[in-house]
Amino acid sequence: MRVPPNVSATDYAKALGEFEQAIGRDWVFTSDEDLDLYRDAFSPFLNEPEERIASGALAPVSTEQVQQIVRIANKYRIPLYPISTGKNLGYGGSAPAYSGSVVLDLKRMNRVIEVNEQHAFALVEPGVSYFDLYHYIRERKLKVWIDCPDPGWGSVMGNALDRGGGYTTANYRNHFDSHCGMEIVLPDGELLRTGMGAIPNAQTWQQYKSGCGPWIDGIFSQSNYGIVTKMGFWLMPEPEAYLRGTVSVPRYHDLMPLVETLNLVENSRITSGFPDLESPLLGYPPVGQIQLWNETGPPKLSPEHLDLLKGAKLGYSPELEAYGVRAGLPYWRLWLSFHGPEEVIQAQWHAAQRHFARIPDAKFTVIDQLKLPVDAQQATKYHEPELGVPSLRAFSIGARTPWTPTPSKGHMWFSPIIPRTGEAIIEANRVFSEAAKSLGMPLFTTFTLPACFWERAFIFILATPVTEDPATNKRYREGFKKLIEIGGQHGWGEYRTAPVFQHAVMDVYSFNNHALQRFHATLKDAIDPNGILSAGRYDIWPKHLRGKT
Amino acid sequence: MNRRSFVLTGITAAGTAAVAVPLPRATPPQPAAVATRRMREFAFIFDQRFAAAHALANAMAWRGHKVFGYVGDITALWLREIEPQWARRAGALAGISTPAALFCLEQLAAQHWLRVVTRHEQQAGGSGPLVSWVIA
Repeated sequence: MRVPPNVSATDYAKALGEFEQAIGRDWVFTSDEDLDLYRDAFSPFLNEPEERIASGALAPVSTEQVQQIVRIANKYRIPLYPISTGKNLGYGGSAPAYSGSVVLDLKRMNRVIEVNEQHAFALVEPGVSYFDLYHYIRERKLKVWIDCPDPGWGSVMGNALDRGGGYTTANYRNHFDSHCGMEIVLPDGELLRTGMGAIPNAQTWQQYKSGCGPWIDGIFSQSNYGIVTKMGFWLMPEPEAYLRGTVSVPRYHDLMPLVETLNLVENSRITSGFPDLESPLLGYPPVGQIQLWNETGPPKLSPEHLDLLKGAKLGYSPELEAYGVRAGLPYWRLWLSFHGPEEVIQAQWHAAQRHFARIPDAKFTVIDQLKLPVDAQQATKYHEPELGVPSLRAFSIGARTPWTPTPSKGHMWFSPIIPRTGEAIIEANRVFSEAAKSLGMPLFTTFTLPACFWERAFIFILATPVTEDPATNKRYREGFKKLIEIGGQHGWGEYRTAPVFQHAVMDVYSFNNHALQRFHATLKDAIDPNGILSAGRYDIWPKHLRGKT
Repeated sequence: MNRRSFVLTGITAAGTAAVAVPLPRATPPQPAAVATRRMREFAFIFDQRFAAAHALANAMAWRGHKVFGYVGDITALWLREIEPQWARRAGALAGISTPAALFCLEQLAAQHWLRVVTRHEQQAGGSGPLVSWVIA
């Protein structure tokens, strides 16, 4: 039987007995077969000795059971690692940050406690997936939308607490920002509610976020200060219509005014749907079309075009630009989407065009105009998450194809935040493509465009493959850490990362002799003195392990 | 959780005989005895894009198994037929699919503490490998 680190077999056996009494024998897992289900399917250490694994797993069904578990864990100093649905693939999955921890699997806590149509909010438990919430809403014919990532199999709460994002409108796309109110089991087993929830019989827990006094919600995201057992989310009232249009520009240097104008129209709320950047000339798809390209293959490029791409530097050459103009292939294309009443979104689209028309030769095309709602089947004609519909189509590529001859075993997301400018896009391409080349990492083709999940910054997101070869995986891990360091030298930090890289990422946040990390440690020592909760998550270690791992 | 050994009856996902899979003994302080139970599958699913998958699906249907097809994207079938059965722990699911679809189902099955218990890769002409499998 596996035993957590720094715990005697005797104490662990006693703890297991008490866990069984608290939650039932059927929900305490210790066999290798059951614990293998908690391995990170995309682990860059797969089958290597350093792979992070669980020594046990517990699956409570209620907040009260979570409290009991936490008290037992404190008694025997059992390290716990809460997960919601365990689908954080690319960022660590369900495996604990501190290998040998006992996974606290919250997926049985899967109640949708409330969806309030009038005030457009939901209150959910950690095990509620985006599919669960979507179907809850559809079954009751409630006129509200979810905002989900792609794929949509993850936990609504889990994704928000790791600060993930989605695809509808700006005020719902940032999943942590769209939350309102939490219930938390603290590391000593105490129960806390934040915001207006701190008032008994609160009437506005999911309507007003910050309550009074310090607004502490943020410290429970990407951290190990508590186990969130309920979380409220604001939902979008079902829009009446949807319009998606594109702005195409012919020249390389049009990227600068294109992004500048995007910032203006987004920050002015002329558009609030998910903006998506593409380069038809460089063969770089928009995020919303990646599925289609995977299913049907990318557009075929002429031999002349392919030759010109090989000769481009940072995606540019005058000859390539001239080819694009001749062939009618825009250098850049920006996809904009609008949700709302028909007359409003038409006016917004016209206003957006007026702003972008300042770029000489900009062209505009309406791609889709829909009356809403559409059902899940109709939504498959589009990128479903942009219509608030969760999907698993990301996995439909399946078979080895001519354009995907060697699918990887998984990936690790490298996701630094860069400024929202065209200059920053080009600079990030220069810096990371040179670094990736010197590190032997296959991250780039001709040019990479960032993702526009957040309104005020870009995520320059790249997938580092996980392979079947441990030597290659080791090289990619070391390269990944080097990329983190290089990004930090340029003032770019990751927004989220897998446990294996959390120390390297947090090390970049080093202002004033790592004041932020020292503050994290101070909070940890106060809130979790026995260090039982998610040791090492985002490099926050309890005192007894600090500097030793 | 007590796990049970099972015999998969009628499943010839790899064209082989029924498979008996012994499971680990329960660990202390649970009882040490291992119970056995016959578990039938509740459905066989196949990716309709591939002729080899059709052939196996036809064989399964002829044997009286419930068979469902899908085209590439597993979402609708999972929601409609698979997830409700898994939530009721209705039995094993067998199928033939691309590796990626199996990966997807494997991750979803883990939410019910189910796992892939057999897998057998086979070529499907120029389209790359298919995998026949059982989840239980």
